[in-house]
Amino acid sequence: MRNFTITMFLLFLGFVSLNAQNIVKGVVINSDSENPMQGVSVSVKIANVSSVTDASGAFTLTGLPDGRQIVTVSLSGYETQNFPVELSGKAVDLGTIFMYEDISEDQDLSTITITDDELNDDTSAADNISGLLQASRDVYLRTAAFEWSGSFYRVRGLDSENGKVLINGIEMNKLYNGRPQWSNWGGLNDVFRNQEFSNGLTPSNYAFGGVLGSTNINTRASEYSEGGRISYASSNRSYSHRLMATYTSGLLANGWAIAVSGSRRAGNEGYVDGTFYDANSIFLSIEKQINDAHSLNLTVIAAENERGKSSPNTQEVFDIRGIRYNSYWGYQNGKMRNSRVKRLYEPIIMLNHYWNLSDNTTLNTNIGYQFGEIGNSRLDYNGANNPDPTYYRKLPSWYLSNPDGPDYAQAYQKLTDFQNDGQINWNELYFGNQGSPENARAILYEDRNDDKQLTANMILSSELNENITLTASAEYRKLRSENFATPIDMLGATGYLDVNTFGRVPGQEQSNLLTPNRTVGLGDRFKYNYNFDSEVYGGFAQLQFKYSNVDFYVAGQANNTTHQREGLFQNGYFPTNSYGKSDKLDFFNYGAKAGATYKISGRHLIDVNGGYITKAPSLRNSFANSRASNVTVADVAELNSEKILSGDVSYIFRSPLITSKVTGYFTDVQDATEISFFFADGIGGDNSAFIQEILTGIDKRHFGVELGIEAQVTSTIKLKGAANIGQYTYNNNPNLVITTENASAQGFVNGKRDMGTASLKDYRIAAGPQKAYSFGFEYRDPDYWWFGATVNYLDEAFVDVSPIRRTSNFINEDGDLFLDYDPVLAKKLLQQEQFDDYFVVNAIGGKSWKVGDNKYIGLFASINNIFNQEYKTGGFEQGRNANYRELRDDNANGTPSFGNKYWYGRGTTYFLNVNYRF
Amino acid sequence: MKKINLYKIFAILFIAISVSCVDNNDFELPTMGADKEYANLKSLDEIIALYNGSPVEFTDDTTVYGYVISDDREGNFFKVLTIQDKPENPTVGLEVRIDDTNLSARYNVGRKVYINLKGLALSKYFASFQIGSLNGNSTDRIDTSEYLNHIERSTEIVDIVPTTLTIGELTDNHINTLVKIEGLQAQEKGLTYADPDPNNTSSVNRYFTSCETFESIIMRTSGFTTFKAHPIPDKKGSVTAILGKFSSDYQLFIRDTNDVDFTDEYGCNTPPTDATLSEVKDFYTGSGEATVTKNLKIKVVITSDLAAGNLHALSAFAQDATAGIALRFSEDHNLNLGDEVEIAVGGAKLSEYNDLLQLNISPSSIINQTTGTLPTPEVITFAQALTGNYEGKLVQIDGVQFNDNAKTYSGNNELIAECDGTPLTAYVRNDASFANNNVSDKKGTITGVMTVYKGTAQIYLRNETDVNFTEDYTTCGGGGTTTNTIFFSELADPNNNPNARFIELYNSGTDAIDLTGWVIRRYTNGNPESTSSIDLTGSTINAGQAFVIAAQKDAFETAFGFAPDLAAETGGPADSNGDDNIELVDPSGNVVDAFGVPGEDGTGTNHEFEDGRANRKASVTQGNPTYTFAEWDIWNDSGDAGTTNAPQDAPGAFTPKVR
Repeated sequence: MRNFTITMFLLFLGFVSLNAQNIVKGVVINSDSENPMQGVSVSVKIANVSSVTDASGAFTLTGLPDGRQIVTVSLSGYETQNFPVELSGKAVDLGTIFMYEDISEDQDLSTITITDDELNDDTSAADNISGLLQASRDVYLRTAAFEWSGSFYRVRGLDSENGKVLINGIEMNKLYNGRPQWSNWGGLNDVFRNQEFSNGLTPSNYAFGGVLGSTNINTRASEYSEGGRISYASSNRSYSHRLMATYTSGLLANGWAIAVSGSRRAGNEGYVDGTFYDANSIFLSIEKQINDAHSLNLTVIAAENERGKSSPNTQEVFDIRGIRYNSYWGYQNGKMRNSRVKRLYEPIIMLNHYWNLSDNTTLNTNIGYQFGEIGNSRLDYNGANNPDPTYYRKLPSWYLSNPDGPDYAQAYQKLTDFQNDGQINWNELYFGNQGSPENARAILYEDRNDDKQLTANMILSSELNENITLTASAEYRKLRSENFATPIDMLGATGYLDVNTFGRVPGQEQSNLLTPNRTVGLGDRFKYNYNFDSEVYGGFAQLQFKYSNVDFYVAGQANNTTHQREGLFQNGYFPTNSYGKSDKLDFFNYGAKAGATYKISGRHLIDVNGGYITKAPSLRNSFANSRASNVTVADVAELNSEKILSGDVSYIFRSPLITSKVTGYFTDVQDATEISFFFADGIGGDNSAFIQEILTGIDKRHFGVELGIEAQVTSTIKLKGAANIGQYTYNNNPNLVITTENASAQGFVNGKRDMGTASLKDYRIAAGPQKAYSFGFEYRDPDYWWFGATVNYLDEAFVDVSPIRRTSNFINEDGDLFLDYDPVLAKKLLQQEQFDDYFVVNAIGGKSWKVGDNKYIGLFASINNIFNQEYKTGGFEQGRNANYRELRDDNANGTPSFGNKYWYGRGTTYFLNVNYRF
Repeated sequence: MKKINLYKIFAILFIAISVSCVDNNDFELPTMGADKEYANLKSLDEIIALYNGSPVEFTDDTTVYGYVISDDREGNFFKVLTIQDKPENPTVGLEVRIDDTNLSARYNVGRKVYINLKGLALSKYFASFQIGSLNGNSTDRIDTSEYLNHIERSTEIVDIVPTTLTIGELTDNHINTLVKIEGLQAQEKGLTYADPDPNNTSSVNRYFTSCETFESIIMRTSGFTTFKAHPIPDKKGSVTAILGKFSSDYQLFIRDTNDVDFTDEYGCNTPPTDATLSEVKDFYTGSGEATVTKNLKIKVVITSDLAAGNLHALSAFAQDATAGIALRFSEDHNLNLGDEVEIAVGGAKLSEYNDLLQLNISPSSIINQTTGTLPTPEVITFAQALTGNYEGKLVQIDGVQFNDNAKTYSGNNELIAECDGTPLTAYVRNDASFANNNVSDKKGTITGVMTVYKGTAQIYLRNETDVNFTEDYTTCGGGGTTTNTIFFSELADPNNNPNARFIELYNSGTDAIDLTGWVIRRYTNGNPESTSSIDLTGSTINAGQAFVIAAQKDAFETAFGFAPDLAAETGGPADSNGDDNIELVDPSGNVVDAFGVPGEDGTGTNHEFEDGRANRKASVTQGNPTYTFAEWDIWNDSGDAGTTNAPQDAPGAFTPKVR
């Protein structure tokens, strides 16, 4: 090892002395450039003493106890160095410490592609959680991020809304659904390396955080070291090509620093058929250090992302067409065209002021403004048949479940049709519009969210004394979200009538009674048009205490959230309560948490955390049918803030050979709200309606054990293992209310029907595999090449159950039990589907070459799912068959028309990256 | 060395934006290829000409072309595509039956389509020609996955010019073509196209009237249409629609509400022009129903007496200088005798009811009602009255009397001018104020409106004063020939076949007897009054011949193998079930022969032939007005009072036509 000499030297230098002032100092130098390095973290873990190097690379650690300690010098992108020292009241000077670039950082490139995907569509609760975890050094969390993310694995079974993502101290989680939108800074990996991750409830220096923790991404220009980087990647996952280029100046003598980065990711088709990818990202950060006390930084992030989505499908469809099949695309004049494109462009501008009030106190003032648009395209067809090639009447199952007996001839015909074509017929849509171009039958439109959000906060951080650090912040966020639909391709026509063809009572068919029977064209708003206004103000305070044997913290937060809808259309179904402003929903929330780390010895530590947080319902879950009306969930049911009680206990063991951590955790969620929209048959007997399913008062329980273990078997071989055994269940029978647009719909009273409780208790929550195991190794050759492989076993993933099927409506018709009800069959039909367990094997490897002064070429490759294992990553029960009869009849022949829909994981994929650093 | 390398920055930005492009934008408009050449291409009329009463199946490659006119987008057409042969002035159209929805998204209105008929069939459902999959005597919808192979599209989309027609000009040839009718308005204001109740999906007929021709027509709209609950504009204008027909009614099927182009004010506003009743009656062509297709009004005087009750409150008679007519109102009227009224008759229907021509109108068509002057009744002869030429006119006939002057007015009353002449019936309703008064037993002048009932002229009496009889009654009788050599020779009620009942008369004389004025009367059961009779006028019995009168001609012929000489009615004199009494009456009204005793039910007596036969003994040679058992042999099912209990079966036990 390169540090060997220094280490040995220090060992001999060390002397034991009680009572005296222990000081450790040194200077950190870049091994290549031999320039001093600023901002390098230097810490003594057991003593909880830490510092960073100044502009001259120097550091000083004070307040250390006597005895044998390990000084850790680390900076992202460089190899972490550990120096054992014996302290005995004398100052120890570690001298010049050379920092070596960490070639293994290229490994991140494989996994940063995780954030390039949103693994799922908005229709599923599963989404990208891995982005949060990649900043962690914890072996378990890194395994979850890098090895299990393709399986939709979720840490502790929790949604990403439970993890806060901040950029320069500004929270980026969306007010609409509480989730961070990773695509907003996708492709900027080079400049998003400076991340601080706090796992779980452990304290962060920026925010109270969620129960899954928080990540702060720092884009301060002065904190990047000088250099440039160009990389090219090739993959068959979501894109084919990626080019990234970055240049950072480092802090210049005149106090300026600049960082620029740009990238392009593109591909005509990803792993799934018809999923193109087209993304461009630009980043600029400029800092001016005015004086020692003040520094100002401007960051501009502009990431455009456009990609073709993929459909969840029933097993019938996958069986016929395979796991790459996607029903959303079709050929137009021989070119692949996806009808469901997600387009996102929400630039972020931030101004950050850093003020060192004193040596021990800093005050950061941050203002961020994000604006732009998200568009999700789809076809609208008020004068044509459903163009979806997997529409149930186009599949064999519909003919096999004919009530008059199976029609094998038709079923075979449909099978052949679906095998041979089975894609969207774009040409046909154009031809359909030819007859009356002024009144198109089908058009392509976008559901748009045009958000403008202003966030401002101040974060005060002060070391009150050697042992106590105070962090406090005050925050204000204001969102104006414009939501509407707009035609983006008239498919050869010139106009489209803005009516809802389901409306039968005059007026009902109007999207906007103020402009009835309006013909719309490109760029017009139609179907729905409303604003969401949200405002959050609040703050948090946190005290961290550090003592020799125990560290502990307490933190509290309070905030106030208001949500309001403002309808800009007077909807035909809701003439009196769709136009204008809704009730203002007001939620006061608070949270408190505390935790402690007790050091039994340097090798054995116990860590305990507990917290109670209340959370305002997201905008998404606050309005019953926001596209159509001002009706709030509170109008039709009870709308409460979510309460989360969470805690964990960890045992940490460290030895020169083994680092391991085992954690027991639980999280209880109460009073959660969920809204879904779908067409249901069998409501109160034979009625059918398009409904909003509003589930309130949901309690969930998540508990389990996590394990992570690393063993440095030899200087070149490291073994890694990680496991989670969890159980995530519904913990009560929540209340279900359904609403529908037509107030006089049969089976409803004023468009509402109280379904009573849904018997969900003890059903598993669809949160990815609840059991996961990983075992692997890394070989790291001193000659700058390395490779590794892992075997992963994932088990106990469940389908998302349909609440409406678990209400009394399932078995009766207006209070009378179905005469043909068979409890044995019913039980079978309501059995929650558990997906098959599976193994996934991944391999990675890389090499780097030095090609000149400070110039390197790196090569990195990974292969995921080497054995091309087919596996389901998620799925949901379609709510359409709402009662026993419908479900039984649809399932009678084994291929239901409205069976569960699934996503499959990818088969074997590769990622290859070459980079050049200078 | 720390300087910002601007060139590096620009190089990086350049690199970042210059990589491969993605094919996710700029899609070209798809175009349809040029039309194919079809080997055996036929026009629609050539195909329809092949139909001769039963489905025509096509087994070889024949392609027919047409132009789409239907549009199922708004739900008024379901799983059907209607095409016509030409974009303008079509000669034929038909329905293509297809098991799919939203067909118009594929086959736009105006698009030329080619249908390969191989494997399909042409059929006719009522008046509509259809193409579909052959199923027995009709056609089914073509399968969802199959029709695409049969129907190909041309790039050509043309404007379909609807054929502008009046309702009266519509013919079966226009069925399944696009027609346009102008000047239409809904007969009733404020209606919706179909039932607005979303749960009622029945089709609804709405009636429209042309303000130009005053004809009306049905618009039929499905309860599945998107516009079912929309109001029909309370205006007037043109309707473009596909013509259909149900039973004998033409029906309009619109594609969407744009087909109803109503922009003019509601109402047929131009004032009607004066017309004579004769001109109005001329619209009637002699059968069926006719519409007054002009905007006319008539000025007439009411010649019926509503107050006297001898006519329903929906009915009236009216007359002007040119003609008279029966009026039939859709609701009760209040038109009294002598009222002078102006009536708008544009659009009114003329039809016959039991052969009486009626002008069907609504009370709301009455423009003006004042007291007028009754026309002077036209004096006509009795013979003129019988011709029927004076239908609807107020007439006066002299020298008439009631044939039967011993009854009340209620019911049919026969008026005669001479004893053996054809009578003229004056029917009086039970509700008439004079129904229960005795008819006049004198002779004189009668006044009334000439009418007709089932082809025979009748006279309507307005009230009792119409009967102005002051002269002495002429007693009839002595007309015709009388003799007692004609008598009943056999009466039959076959046990096995009551339909084969008959009466046999026999002429024992030496001369042929003309039966003019002779009547057989039947007194049913114990009824003392005659209950039915048959006039034998027109028949002759030759000397020594028997004469058979059957109750039912066909049944008799079936049973006995030859036709009877005369057929009475079912329930008439010859249809006795054996316990009735029967008399033979000569032209003077004298009873010549009798079986049984009127007023005495035959059951259990010596004049019962139930299920059997009464046969005059061979020794009898002349009629006897007093029933004498000894003259008869009687078989029946009781055997009482000296009769024989032996039910008789036809034909063997009977001897019709044989004395």
